[in-house]
Amino acid sequence: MPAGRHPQARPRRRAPSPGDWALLAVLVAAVPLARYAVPAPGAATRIVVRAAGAPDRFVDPGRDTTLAITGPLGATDVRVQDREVWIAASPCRNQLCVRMGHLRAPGRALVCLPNRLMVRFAGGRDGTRPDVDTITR
Amino acid sequence: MQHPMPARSPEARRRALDVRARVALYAAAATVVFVLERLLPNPLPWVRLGLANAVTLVALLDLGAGPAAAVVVLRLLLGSFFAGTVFGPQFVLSASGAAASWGAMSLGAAVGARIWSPLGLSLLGSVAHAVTQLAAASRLLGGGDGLWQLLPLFLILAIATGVVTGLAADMLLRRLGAARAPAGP
Repeated sequence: MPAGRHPQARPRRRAPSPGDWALLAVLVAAVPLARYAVPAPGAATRIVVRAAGAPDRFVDPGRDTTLAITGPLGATDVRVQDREVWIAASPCRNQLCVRMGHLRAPGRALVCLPNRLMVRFAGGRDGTRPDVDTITR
Repeated sequence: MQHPMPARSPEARRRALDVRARVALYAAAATVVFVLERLLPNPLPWVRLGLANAVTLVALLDLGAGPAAAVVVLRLLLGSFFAGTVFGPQFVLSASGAAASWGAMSLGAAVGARIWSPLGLSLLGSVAHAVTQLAAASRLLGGGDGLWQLLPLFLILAIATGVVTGLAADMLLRRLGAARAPAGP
């Protein structure tokens, strides 16, 4: 055994191996298939605000609104304007949710994990309630 | 009459000490990489290159699955301590992703050592990491399929980061192998 080579060390192939290319091809092919693995978001008919432990709130994206969503860390400021939604202020430490920017269409979500909050566009086919509530501050 | 435990040979003791020392070094390196990576500008929130996983992979292929698990645990605890996220929701995400990554890479190394290089193993780990983090985040936010709509994006990012960390791990392993090779004819 070569000096310094640990007995538990495993023999290995050099990168990239044919197996690596095959795996890469499979994963790249899986990306478009993944779109069909989740329900399609549908047209952006409403904004869903989910705070863990509370019922979902639904907001009309066509109406400019300001929401204060209370979570474990405090109130998160969610703004709706010109059919866009964003998190304007959050009590979380890293402010990642604020840096996520503006949402304009389904397919992405604004998430604040420390404050247990998710905001996304949704359509009528995602199983949410058909009626729309608007909460203003 | 009690039979005394057979004494470990000096070679076995030296080897055990060698493993512990390397685990400590790998854990320290992974922690430093993890902390420094958080200081880099990041246009995509939540997404990290995961270069610390390259160190985990090097530890896996150098020492085996058990010591690599120790590296992962130490890195998680130390990195979360320095980042101020110990036992918070981000720690849950990090831990679940790291555990899945370690499991996928260990399994891949056990069954596919002749098939995949560190690059392939890193791809397995990064995809497992991404899918598990998505599942954990969805669970933290009360379930539903809202976050799963990000799956295609997460897969693309996982493939890209897996390639980078896999190539980095491969380079590190080659350098380590060259550094440990016997000198002279």
